[in-house]
Amino acid sequence: MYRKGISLIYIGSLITLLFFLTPAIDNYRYNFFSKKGVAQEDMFYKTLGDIRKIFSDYSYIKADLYFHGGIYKKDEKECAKTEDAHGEDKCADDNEHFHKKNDKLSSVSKISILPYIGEIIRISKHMHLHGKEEQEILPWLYYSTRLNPENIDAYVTGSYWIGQRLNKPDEAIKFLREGLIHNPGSWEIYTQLGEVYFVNKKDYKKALFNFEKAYGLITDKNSDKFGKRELYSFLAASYENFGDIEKVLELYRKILALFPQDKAVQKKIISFQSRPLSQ
Amino acid sequence: MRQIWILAQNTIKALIRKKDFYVFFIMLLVLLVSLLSENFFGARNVSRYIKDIGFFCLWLFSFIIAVTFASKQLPEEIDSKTILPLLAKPVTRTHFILGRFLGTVLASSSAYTIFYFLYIVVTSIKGEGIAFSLVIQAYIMGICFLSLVSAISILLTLYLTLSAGITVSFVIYFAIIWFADKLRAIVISRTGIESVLLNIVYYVIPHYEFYDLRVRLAHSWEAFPLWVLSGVIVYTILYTSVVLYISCSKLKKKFL
Repeated sequence: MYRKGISLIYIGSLITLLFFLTPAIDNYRYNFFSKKGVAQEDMFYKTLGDIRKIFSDYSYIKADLYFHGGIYKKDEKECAKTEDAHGEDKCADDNEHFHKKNDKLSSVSKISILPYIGEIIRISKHMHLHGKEEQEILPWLYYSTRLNPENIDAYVTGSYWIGQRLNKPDEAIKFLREGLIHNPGSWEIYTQLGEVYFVNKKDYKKALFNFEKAYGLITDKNSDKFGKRELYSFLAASYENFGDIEKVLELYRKILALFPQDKAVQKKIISFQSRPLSQ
Repeated sequence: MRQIWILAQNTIKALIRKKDFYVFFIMLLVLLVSLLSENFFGARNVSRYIKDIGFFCLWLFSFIIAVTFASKQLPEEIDSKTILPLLAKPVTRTHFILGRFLGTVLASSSAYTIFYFLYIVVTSIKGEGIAFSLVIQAYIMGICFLSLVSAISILLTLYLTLSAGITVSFVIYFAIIWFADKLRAIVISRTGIESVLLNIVYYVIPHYEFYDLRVRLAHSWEAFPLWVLSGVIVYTILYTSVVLYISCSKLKKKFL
């Protein structure tokens, strides 16, 4: 009886302590996260901390894995080597790839049956998802952004699949806007948003607005020449829609400065130079 | 045979008595239902992620049940000295090992069967489903996997303590899952004496990677040929027999 009473007092004291301590801890946590600029409702941050970034990257890789039918890219690298050497896409030909594997396997079976069984069980056929199957990658891109809202690649890639491949531009725009809340300075997300408006919605005004936003944010430090080329090309195409040839020429000259050997850009510059500057 | 069956029954009863199975079942149910209710950008019939995550969890839960049940059998009996009355005639040490092994395999296979049934029901609700031949193959492979895991876990506890046995069982599993493909690639690429030595290593390690058909199930790949399935079953029987033989020999020599 005495022990029970003592236990009850202990438990009561503990609950009282927690009652007063919890708001203090919560207050400290709130200030800490506010300074770091992390959203308070971010459940994954609370439970996983910075490890969520690793899971987010894994989830992003998983999306790529799904696109290749569950096979890691190892075989694709082999294909890339073949592609470089012969100048043609050997991976596109699944049968040839499979026959090569079978030749390799027949030599294995002469030596040992167990590695042979292992090779048969392991799938190594190269494939890509097609049509409606492509939507199977979406969960992983979604989880990738939930785990790490700063994963810009996941927003950009996800919106490409949603908007351009699965033809759901409104969903893509919603997804990208959500990405902008977490990454307001991302030129990549603005570019992608512009692309959805340009390609899918044919809303050139909104597309131009977003491309200009991206243009204002892109720098040498946060981009490479391929990213710049993509943005400049779309921005040029948007200006072209509004007849601002001067700006189109300026952008194509910038692209030419990045890729001096690009004959298609050279031709475009020549063709635009022959036009009047404003239409 | 009767003695083995009586010993096995005790282990199966432990599965019903202990809470592990119920906890895993509820966890799997909650996980599958929550995955099923997810909506990704309005896309309908997205299902591969359910098949993937669901199978991974049921596989892991069954594996944990097999390892913990198999590992607990001997150390608990030896520590509490309850093994001594059990080993009174007509139960021999071989009977004891085989009975505990059979009990662990049946208990973990029962859990696996229930998990698998739940998984198949849930995955058939949404998306493309799974081909029947593959469903059967994955089920048989699961049972083979649990047999091998149980035998190896029992063997480990004869050399190690309970916690060390469980830990090493997990380490072996994950090491093989992660590195078996690389090892196979090396075995295939080498020739001469190097090839012979690597082949010996390859044959000695337990090939857990053979049994996990998650990628096939999730991505709707075709079932593999029947001779491969037969080959894996024969491999499991042989490997498990060797491991159980070593366990029996070890227990016979062990001072209790």
